Amino acid sequence: MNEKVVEILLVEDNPTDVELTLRAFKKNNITNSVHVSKDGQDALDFIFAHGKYADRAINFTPKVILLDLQLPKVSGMEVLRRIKSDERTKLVPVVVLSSSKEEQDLIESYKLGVNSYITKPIDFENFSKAVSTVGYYWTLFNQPPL
Amino acid sequence: MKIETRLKLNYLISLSVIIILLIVLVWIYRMMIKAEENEDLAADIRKNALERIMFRDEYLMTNVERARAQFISKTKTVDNLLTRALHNFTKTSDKALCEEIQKSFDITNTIFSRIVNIRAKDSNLRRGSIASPEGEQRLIGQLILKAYDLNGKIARLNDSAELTATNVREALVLLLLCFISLMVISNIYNSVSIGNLLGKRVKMISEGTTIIGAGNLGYRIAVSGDDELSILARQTNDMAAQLQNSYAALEQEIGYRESANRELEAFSYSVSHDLRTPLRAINGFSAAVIEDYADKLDDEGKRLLNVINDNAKKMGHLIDDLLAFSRIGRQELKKQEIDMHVLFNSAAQNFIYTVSERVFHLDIKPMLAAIGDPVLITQVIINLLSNAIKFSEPKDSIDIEIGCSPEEHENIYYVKDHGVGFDMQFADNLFGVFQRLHSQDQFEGTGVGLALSQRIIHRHGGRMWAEGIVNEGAIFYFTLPKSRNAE
Repeated sequence: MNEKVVEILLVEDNPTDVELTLRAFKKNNITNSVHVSKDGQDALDFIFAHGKYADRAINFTPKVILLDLQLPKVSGMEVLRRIKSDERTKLVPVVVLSSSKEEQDLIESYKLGVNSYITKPIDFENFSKAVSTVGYYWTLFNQPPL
Repeated sequence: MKIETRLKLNYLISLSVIIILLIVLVWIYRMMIKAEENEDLAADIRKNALERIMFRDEYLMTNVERARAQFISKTKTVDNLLTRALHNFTKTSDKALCEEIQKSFDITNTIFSRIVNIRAKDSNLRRGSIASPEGEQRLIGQLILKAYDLNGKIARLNDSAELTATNVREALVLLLLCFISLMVISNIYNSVSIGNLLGKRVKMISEGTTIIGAGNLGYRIAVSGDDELSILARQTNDMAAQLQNSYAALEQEIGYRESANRELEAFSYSVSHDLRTPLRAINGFSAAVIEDYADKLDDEGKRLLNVINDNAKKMGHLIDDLLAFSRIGRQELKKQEIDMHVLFNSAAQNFIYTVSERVFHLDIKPMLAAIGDPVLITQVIINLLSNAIKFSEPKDSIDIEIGCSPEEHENIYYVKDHGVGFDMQFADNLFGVFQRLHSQDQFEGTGVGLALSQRIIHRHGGRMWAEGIVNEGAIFYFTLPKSRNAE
């Protein structure tokens, strides 16, 4: 593949949220390459280099995966479980970006090994701040195990 | 058979045995009297017959007229006695004996009369002579023989009468013994069987009620019979069945409620998730317009977009509050002993910095410990404190007093401010969801805080109410169960 290595995988089915997230990145000068998966199956295919991503090199894992919980086909919780239970991907940082503040979602996510859980603020200013902070932190400051 | 019937039967048996016994006693007593009479009669006959023989012998030997007259008089007596005997003796053998005696007696009389006749004819010839002619000698011989026979028969009658009397006496004693033992045995049998039945039934019912009482509502006491305790056992069974039905109905009801609760949870989950997303879009894109097209918009255009922006935010808060409110109802209470002083104090710390530029005077009176969920109670305290501060803002200083007074089973806590207060006629509206007493421009807020606080207190079994005077301040009270270790 000729594209550059994907650094952020955004798993989000809602196009407005995708647009707002990308806008927040751009506004905060996060220029890392982003791949957007619109459902859980696409995300899993991308991560494990299956289906239409079969020729992608699996060892080029994203620096961070931003994951919504309510997704078509395969739920966000299931995607998280598969990532964290696979030796090849379990070290990839996963940040849940969800609208849900429900305690059960929080507990379940942390049990599955999520690295961070962020509730999407309704206010764009806060949303933009949250998303960019996550972007900076995981792509720039965080030192991943090599 | 019913126990009552059995007990009645017991009494009836005793009564009838006594009655029968009395009748039999009277009957036997009469028999005995009669037998004794007969005994006396037979003895009398015997005595008189012997005396008659004495007079007969005297007459035969002396031929004295007095002796003859005495003999005839005795004969009459014996004849009368025999007539009575014939009438009185009822036993066949005795009656036959009496007849025989009568016959022999008559014969002796006939023979005696003939002797007397012979002697009367010869009186002139043989006056003074004792010697008897040959014919007379023969008659005398016959008379003695017959009299001997008669005496034997009379003795037999006497013996028989004595025997009868003895028999009747013995029979009386025997019968008495029989009846008494019959009565005693039947009463003992009845009492023992009633006792056994009672014991068996009571044991069964007691075991059954113990099992049912322990929670096995499907258990039924094995019932046989139609006595009172069987009826009680059946009623107990009916009661258990009724309980079982009610229990099943309740469980079904709980099932419905649980599923309704699950639906509600799913509902609030989707509200929480799905309602937020479009709001974020509204807010985000109106912000994008302001950012990207700032040069093309005049001030009014920007203001209108900001109104959209603010309202989207406000709706976000409303959704959050509504969800928080609905979550209180479902959330499990983690009750423990709470040091209310610590709770009030740490909650108050949150506000010190927000009002630092104002005169903030907080007076926390001595506090009593309570029982409750500290997280939820903290939420109540924060709500009350933030209200007190919010509604004190128009005043020069913020003056808040927190205190507590003990009641019998609960403690009353209060938060008193000297803020804008409220009109008591609207006191009931204070705790309604989204109910506000002030306009949105005067004081911020969604109007859920007090409703939420009251719901938390209600879930703890407490009460919450408020008193206020316009422009003078308000006091909010809530109660919580006392700590058991308070004393």
